[in-house]
Amino acid sequence: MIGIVLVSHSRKLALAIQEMVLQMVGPDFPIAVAAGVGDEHEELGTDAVHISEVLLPFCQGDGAVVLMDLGSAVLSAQTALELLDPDLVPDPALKLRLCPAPIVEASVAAAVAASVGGDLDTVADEARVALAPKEAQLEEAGVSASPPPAAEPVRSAGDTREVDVVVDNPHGLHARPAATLVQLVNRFQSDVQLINRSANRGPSSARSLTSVALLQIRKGDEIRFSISGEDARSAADAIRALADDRFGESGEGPTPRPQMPVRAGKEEGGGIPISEGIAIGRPLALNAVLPDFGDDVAGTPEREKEKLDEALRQVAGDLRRPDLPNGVATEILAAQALVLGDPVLLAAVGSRLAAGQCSAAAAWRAETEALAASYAALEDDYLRARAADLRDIAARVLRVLAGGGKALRIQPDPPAILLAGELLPSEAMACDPSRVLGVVANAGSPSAHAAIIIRSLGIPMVVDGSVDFAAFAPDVLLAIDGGSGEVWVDPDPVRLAAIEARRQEILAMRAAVDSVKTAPAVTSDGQSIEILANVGSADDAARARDNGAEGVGLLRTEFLYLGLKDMPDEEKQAQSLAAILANLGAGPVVIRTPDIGADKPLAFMPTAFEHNPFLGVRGLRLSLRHPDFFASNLRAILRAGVERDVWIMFPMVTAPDEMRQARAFAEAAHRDLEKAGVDHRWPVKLGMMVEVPAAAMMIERFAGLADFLSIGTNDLTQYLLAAERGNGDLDALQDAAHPAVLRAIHEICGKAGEAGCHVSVCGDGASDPLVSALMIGAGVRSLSVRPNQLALIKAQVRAVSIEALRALTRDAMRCDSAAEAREIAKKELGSLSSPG
Amino acid sequence: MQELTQAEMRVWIWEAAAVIDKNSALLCDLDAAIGDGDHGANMTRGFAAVLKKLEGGAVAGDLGAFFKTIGMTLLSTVGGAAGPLYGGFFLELGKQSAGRTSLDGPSLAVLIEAGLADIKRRGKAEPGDKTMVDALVPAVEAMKAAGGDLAAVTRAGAEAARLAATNTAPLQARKGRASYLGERSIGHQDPGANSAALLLESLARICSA
Repeated sequence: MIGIVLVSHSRKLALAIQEMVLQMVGPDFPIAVAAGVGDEHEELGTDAVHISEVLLPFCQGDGAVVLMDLGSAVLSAQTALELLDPDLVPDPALKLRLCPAPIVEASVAAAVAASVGGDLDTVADEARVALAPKEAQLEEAGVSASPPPAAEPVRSAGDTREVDVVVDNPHGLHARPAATLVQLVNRFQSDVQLINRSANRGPSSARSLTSVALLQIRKGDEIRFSISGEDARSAADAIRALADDRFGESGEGPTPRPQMPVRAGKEEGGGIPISEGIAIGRPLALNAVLPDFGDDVAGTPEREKEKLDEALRQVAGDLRRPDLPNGVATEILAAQALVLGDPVLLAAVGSRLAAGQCSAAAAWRAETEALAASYAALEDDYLRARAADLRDIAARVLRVLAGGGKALRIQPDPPAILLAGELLPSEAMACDPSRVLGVVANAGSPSAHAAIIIRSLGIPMVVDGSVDFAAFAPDVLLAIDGGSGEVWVDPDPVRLAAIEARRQEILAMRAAVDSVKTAPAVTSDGQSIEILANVGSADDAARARDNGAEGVGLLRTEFLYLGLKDMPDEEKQAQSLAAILANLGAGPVVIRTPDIGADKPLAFMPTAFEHNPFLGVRGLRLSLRHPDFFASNLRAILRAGVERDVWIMFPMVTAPDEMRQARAFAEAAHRDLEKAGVDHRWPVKLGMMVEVPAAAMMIERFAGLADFLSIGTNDLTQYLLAAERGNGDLDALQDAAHPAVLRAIHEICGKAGEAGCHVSVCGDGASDPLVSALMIGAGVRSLSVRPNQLALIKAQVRAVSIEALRALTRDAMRCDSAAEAREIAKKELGSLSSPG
Repeated sequence: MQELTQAEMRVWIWEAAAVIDKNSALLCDLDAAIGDGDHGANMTRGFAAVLKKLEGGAVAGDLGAFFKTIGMTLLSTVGGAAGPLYGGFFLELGKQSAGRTSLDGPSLAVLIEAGLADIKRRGKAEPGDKTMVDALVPAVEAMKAAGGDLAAVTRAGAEAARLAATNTAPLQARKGRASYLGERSIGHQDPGANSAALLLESLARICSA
């Protein structure tokens, strides 16, 4: 690729231009800076020797266009050419062009031309005419002022297509979106001419940034692409898709939905284990279970249009209520929301409807599917990934259209194993555990929200990208082991018998485990371990009670606020909390104040955009910034808990001072209620989540400030290992069995023990039998687990000795990885606790 | 003095650096009137760097290597247009004196003439453009006319350069930043012509000593 060398008196100036160019064409573009003078090149001036050194690698590579600022920059650049070693660079003219164009404009134009593979002359030509758009703009002289380069329409054989677009970008097709367009166009053979119909400019070649810029396309302008050539059709589709994505500006720097990794299983082969358990049964494609969106014409075009608008409104409303637990969610949702309002898509659907003979669902499906297909056919990873978003949002709308907004239920009859490309959270939630035997998906991650839901329902699930559902005969028999990730297709009778035996064994073990539900969790050497439940809804509360929880180690309160347009008043919050408390059995209840933030934004509490919400204003940080809201949360908890042993816990605590402030808030809440003569619980224990590494490392500084600690392993792991939750590529790191996490927990338990402070673990790790064993070995004496894991964890505690677990954890802390720690834990626990 | 060797040349550079430093403010003022006001600072920085380079002792080899060292250092440290111009001038001196270890009067004149040609080529400047060329052209002519004695040659060059530098005042600049000023450049002496004169004057002092 042809590069650019920036020669400037000012290093700062050149670096700024470099930054701007890289932002436009991507970080790998070869653009070098030869600017400034003096030892650090910080003084104003040019240095011919330095320039020569910068030029040399370009001479030995593909070459570069040299752009200079003023006066001596030119002289120095020319001199630099003479300084090049003739043995290394026999003819600098073959590799370098000193270009007289204005440095900023030319840098951008040249970079775009170079990034799409232009040769040295083409790139230099692009640079040379880079001033033309600005001239034209200032003179309003139109395109004819300066002939754009390489704009001659090339009539080639093949198709001719036209794509009309109304530009919706706030600043029109300014440099960045124009650059994106030019890069896309240059991937195709076809000639692409662009006309700004609103301003009557053009046609100009869409291959050239300069000629696109000359068209001065502003927001609201109607533009037309005329595409001719062999690959006109795919070029047209790609341009349409890009236009629908507002030329890459759909959400200011959205990262594409991560492509779920498809990889070899962690176990003997097969896929990724997602949810434990064995299922044997006939497969059923998820699509077949989803509501059938009939194509029948239900009414007049007007009526169908109304139905569609209503569905779009409802889905848009749902999207504003993100229920996914990670930062990716907001980006997915933002991208999806864009589709709902996409004028081009809506216009296409609208004209289909207007033509009659078409239901809202059929029109919506046809247009979204066509769009998704054109995305999916593209080579660009980013655009391809958009197809999944598009299909997801399309399905949401179709579901609303078909079901009139009723909640989706997936109840296959007869019961079956679901096959899905990727299970969406809403679909996981809809699964009826008595009818859905298991799930096999082509893509997904154990930390995905759908996976968490499926586990909570006790449905076995495996992700295996290699399973080709289309190849299944309709009467195939499928067996899956959600614990190992194995998938068997039509297993032979011997194999099937073995799988069935294993299934019975697991069921028997679960039954045995169930029988210990009400027994105390005491190790074989007499150490009792407190087993609490994590609760986030009234259903969870009932399940926790039924499964023998000794109390609640984590009552999440986010559900009280998510999805609400207006802030609920104190009364409403207290009532909702009381409803949950009423479902609980005996024992203490740790209520966590809202752990919300930019990744789970509240409609009534707008938050600033954050590049990394997980490192942003969330949890207690957010609460302390909204004193009125926080005070009402605390008063509601104290009121709802009047009859209960309620403890209050603050999430995302980083510094002791935050704890001081939080305590002051709680005390103020108590005084307010007392003054008003309202019944409430007081005193209550005030504690903190330990999930920020800073807090974990200096936990003794919280002595006297936190009455109890609860370790949030999910966040602690993500922050310790710098691996975002929900990023499927980093599953191996997102594991609380990691020695670093175990060491942190060991350290916290040690220090808290000295201070006589109660420590519990409420993260997902506590619900994992292997990890919970390692935590007990690290010193944890209280675990708060998912309600459906209560019995299992309890049974395990009863089967092991503290002594053995201590030794095990000591070894695990010396491992190199979570996988290694799991390996030795698995071996050790196998011999410690006999199944059943 | 019959011949200039590297030892004398080193003294010349030392003297030139001191003179330029002393006149730095003057050169800057001249430049401020018609340019960007940095010529004195740039030249001072460049010659200070050359001195530093020469601190370590004699440059190994002939005069060619010596001049090349000076040229490369000026190229990479002066910063303004004077960098490539004076840098190129000394590089050319280096090329022309390859294999030689000493210079007499006539060969010095020829050498400076070659350096001037490089400046003219590089800066595309002709006499009358209000540049250092205006000082150097009459200087070279005077040096060639002065005959054999080194002191006489350099003194003739220095006097001609000084006179010519003063005479740049009524000229209208046609090169460099000053050319942007057009007629407003009239009435001010050219800083480049002045620095050239300073270089030749310091050389004359060394040769007359």
